[in-house]
Amino acid sequence: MTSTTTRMYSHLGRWLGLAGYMIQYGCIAHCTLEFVGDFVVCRGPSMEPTIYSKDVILTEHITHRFNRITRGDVIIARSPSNPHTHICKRVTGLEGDRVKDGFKTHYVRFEAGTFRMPGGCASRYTTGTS
Amino acid sequence: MSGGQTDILTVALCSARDELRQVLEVARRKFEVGLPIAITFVDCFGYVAKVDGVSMQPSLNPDNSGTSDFVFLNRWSSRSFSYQRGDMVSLVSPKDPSQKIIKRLIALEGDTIRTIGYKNRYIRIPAGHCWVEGDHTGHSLDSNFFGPVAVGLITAKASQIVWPPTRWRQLESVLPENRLPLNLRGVTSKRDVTEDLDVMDLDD
Repeated sequence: MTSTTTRMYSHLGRWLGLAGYMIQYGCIAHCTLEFVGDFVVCRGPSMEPTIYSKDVILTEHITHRFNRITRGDVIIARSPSNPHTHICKRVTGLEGDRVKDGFKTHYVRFEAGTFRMPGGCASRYTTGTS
Repeated sequence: MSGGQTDILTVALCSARDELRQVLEVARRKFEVGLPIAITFVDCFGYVAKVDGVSMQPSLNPDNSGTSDFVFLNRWSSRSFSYQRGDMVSLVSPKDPSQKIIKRLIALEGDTIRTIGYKNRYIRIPAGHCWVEGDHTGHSLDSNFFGPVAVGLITAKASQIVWPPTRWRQLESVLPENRLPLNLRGVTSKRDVTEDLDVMDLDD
């Protein structure tokens, strides 16, 4: 009787310990993927020839936390037209810049806090989120 | 005799030092385990933030005495981006990404809204965007200033006021009657809009 109870407790202890370890490593994994970097599969032709469809790219999540995005950076951002999807674009202008809008001759002036990030196909600017 | 005393003192010091080292070691291990769990908790479930400014009066910071409300920002509901009109949300300011603002969600994508002082009198909210406004009309830097904002900029939903204790309450999802999007009032044609405009102007 006592030995059964002891065995049950030791089993319970082992399972609890395992659950604790899983939570701990799950949290470490979450923090790494969320705040350090992760891998992303890109689809679509908009970043050719730099990135082709189905390329896997390594991203880091540190620069944008300090707002250190500069012109020329390739970034992943949440799509402004659908928050469930992400888009991969190159930053071509920052706030206050004047950039050429496609084949047109006019220039666009940006308001503070917005990026312009055309890939090959995209032509609209959007706010900087990630 | 004095030598013996020194020995005892040294031994006592050494054991105290060892104990301190052990305590520090345990604290370090607890910290290493606890920090990722705490960060994950804050990132997934939510955190408490202080509300500055008058833009959400009278819902938040109702008196100008300088005391600030603290609200619980629920991150869990922002995972699926499913918000309702009237929700109080915190978002990254479209004007300055280092700043976070708290506003009430007025209209979702596809809604038509009568603006207050925006460049267009009526605007249809584009896909993936929403219209946010402070409760304190005229004293708030909101969508009437910067236009529709991307839903992806919303970081959390404010669910409770947690501090000061006298102000503890659940933040309900309430849409001000006069800020209801036009499509929810049964306004469909331009003629209806003009009529609605007349009524609104009379009310004002």
